[in-house]
Amino acid sequence: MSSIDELRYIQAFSKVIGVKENDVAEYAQRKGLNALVDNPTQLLTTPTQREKHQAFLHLYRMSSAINTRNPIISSPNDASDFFHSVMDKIYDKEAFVVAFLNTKNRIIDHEVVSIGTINSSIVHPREVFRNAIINKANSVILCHNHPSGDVYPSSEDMNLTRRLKDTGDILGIRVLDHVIITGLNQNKMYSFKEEGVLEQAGDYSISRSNDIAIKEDMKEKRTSIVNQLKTQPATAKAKQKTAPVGAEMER
Amino acid sequence: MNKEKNIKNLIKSLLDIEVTTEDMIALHENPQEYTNSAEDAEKLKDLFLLMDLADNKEVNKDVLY
Repeated sequence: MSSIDELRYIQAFSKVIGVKENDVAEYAQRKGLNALVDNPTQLLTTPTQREKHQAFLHLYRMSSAINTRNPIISSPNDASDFFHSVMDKIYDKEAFVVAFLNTKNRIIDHEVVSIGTINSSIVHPREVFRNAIINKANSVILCHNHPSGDVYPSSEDMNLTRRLKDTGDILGIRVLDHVIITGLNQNKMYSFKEEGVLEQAGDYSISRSNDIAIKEDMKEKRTSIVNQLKTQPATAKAKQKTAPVGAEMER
Repeated sequence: MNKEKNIKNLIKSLLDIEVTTEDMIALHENPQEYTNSAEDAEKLKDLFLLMDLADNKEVNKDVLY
């Protein structure tokens, strides 16, 4: 958040909750801006201020719940609902869509990567992650539909998912799930996460422990790539030395 | 809906203004239409500005549940 937005945030909080602007600014400086909404106990000194803050929290929660364009995705069912809303118009064709999420699992944006037969040559990692990087996404959820109505993944779906997951791990953009839906029966869904194909089964955790595990995993992969790069010049030199011999042999 | 938690009552408690709809999106997009004065509409705009900025800041909504 820019410093201008921070000032607007403080001024709006002051006006709405009825606390002096200087007090709000001082509290935000001491405890952080999030504390104005999360933990303002020490700031709110009168019963009226506390009542207003409670009313604000209720309205804020209601507002978040009806934010259908950028919902928070916390389970495979949430993901399925979102992707159905995106893919309803193209249910008769196979399509691959990626949703970009922020650190709180709120959808920032989505992109239809491909329409037509889904295979790894069409759904390339660079197509999937290009906009994830531009949108500064923390994670992505992948989705494609099976117009046939059978949501069970093919071996190609499995390979593609693993490939994209590995790419995401290296980039530090977690692949939270890959869901397969069908336009014919909206209740049917296959979640790679739920089936245990992607890390642990269950809901989409945003816990720090997962982040740490992913960071450790990424660190190992980066180290492996760096080691490979370190050995490459030697191999390249060796190839350069042998090339003329090879060329002469060809002649 | 619980009387204490409907949108009109919450806005009355928070801003001391009357609004004529329970539709949060409509209030957000067109505050003049559903309030009694320009001054009340401004108060409503301040409220939605605060919500939008809180969203950008990604306040931990778990505390709300």
